[in-house]
Amino acid sequence: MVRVLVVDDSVTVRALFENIINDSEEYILAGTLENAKAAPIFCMREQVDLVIMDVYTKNRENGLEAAAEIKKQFPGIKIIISTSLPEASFQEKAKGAGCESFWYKELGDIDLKSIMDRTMSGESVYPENNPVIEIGMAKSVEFTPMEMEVLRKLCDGKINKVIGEELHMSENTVKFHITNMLSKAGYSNKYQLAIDAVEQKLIVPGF
Amino acid sequence: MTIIAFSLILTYMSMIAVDLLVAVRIYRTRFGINAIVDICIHIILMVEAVLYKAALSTGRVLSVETANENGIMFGIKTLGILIPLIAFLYGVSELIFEYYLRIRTINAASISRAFEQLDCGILFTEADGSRVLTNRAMKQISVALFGINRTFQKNFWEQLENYKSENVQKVEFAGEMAFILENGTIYSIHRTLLEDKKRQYYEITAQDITKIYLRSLELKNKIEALGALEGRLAKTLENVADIQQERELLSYKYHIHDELGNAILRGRRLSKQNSISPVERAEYTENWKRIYKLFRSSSNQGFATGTDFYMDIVKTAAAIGCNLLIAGERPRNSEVLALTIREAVYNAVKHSHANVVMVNGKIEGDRYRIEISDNGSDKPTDIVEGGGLTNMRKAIENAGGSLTIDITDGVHLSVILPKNEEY
Repeated sequence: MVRVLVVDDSVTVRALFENIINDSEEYILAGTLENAKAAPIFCMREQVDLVIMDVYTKNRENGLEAAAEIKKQFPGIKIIISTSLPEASFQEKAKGAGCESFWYKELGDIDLKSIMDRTMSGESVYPENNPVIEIGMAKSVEFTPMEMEVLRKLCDGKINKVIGEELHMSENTVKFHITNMLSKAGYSNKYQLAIDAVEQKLIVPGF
Repeated sequence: MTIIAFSLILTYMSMIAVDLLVAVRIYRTRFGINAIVDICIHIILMVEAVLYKAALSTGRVLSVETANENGIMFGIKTLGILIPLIAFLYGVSELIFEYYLRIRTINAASISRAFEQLDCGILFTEADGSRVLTNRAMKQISVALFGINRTFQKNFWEQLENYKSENVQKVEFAGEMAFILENGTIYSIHRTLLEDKKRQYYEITAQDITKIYLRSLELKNKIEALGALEGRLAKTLENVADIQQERELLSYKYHIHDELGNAILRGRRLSKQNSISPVERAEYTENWKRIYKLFRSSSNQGFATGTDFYMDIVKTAAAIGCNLLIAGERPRNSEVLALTIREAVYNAVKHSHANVVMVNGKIEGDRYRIEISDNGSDKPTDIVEGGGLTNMRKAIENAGGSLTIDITDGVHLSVILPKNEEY
């Protein structure tokens, strides 16, 4: 039996996951948590083989950070990151943390069970691409990696000067990137751009 | 005739004397080539007069008529060559003079005059503070600051440093002290130590920064306004994320509704059929089972949050095998306290292997004192603050409270939070 820990702050999602696990022959529920930070502690105390980890959990606790901590302490535990946020950096961060699989929990193509099976048989399952989001007139993939970094800082509410310092570029370069994004998206100011990026979940501030 | 000659000689000699006086006076301030040229002209004229006297006395000139003929002709011939030559020399000397005036002719007097006219105030003092040199602007500033009687005392600089007055406001600008005078002018005062070969001087300068100062105030206000705006943006962005989360939840609720609708429709269809196959029956049963489970799990854990704001943490603690006991007085809905208790529970279980965490609060005047301790078996000897603990401290201090960590016997947190405030 594979012991599964479910970390998700939505009652309904947890219920769906629990049902999938309880209905199966080979999985058993080890526990459910709402807070990501509690997950590594749970793994210290109980036998866990597989973690299904949400990214944006209760009290804004970061599932990716918790996953990285679990992987560091217990490399044997397999982790599936499950999120509904199309945030551009999540897949990369999940890979960096050493998580086996990544799953966008969109209803419709819901087949968590098969991802769990494939993960447990040693496969690593990641979506082929980041979901494409439309920011104004632009598609999210049209933004360059550098522009995405600037946008991320912008969504943290930082001013150009601070962004420049943190990304080791001049204030004018920051402005240049922002102007480029604005012209791609067809927006007139950076606030519109930032709010749209956050609302569309291209960027989740603080994650 | 001799009288005329002598009077001419005397006149020219006195002219040369005047020239010399003028030259000496001018020489103090500028290079007097033109004065020397004047002297030369007069010497030539005097020599001419001497020659005329000599001509008279030797008898080569006998009468006024012949004197006019010979003497004046002699004068005209001599001057005819000399005057153009002198005019030429004079012109050249003027050019050279102009050139030297610009480049070389800086002397004490010219410095003093330029210094006096400077817009910025300058004061040179000895190392002990006694005054060496100052200018008009500095005098005016000193009078405006200290009044006419107490201006430029030996401890001028110390007086400036400790300056207090009702009429003049002392401010700091770009790391220097500055004074806003009654007439609205703002001076920034700066002192530098100058070292000569033998002695030390202080140079104290006063720079009019009225415009810069006012502009910088304006800029500062604008930056502050911008900062507030950025802060609001950050907050809005966070809210946007939360709203989006709600939307997702709603979509899952729709999913349950779909499942329910699906089951009802299937039921209706089956009820109209004459016979029901075992497969259909199994599917239909499965359908309802799923719905039952969804509802059961929802109602078990409750869509609504617990009655107590901190019940969620008790649940989280229980999930990681920790019994969280909350007692006594505490803020009713404090995000800050919730964060604190949560972090304390994580740390107690993780690092001290505790299975009980106790939170006890009481009111002390206008604030809460909340003590958090645990029964952990591993008692740490030192704590490195970082991550969760830093966030905790920041949140508490932002709310106007304080956090003390005592590790003499297990970890003991003491949290002070102000009363009657929402945080």
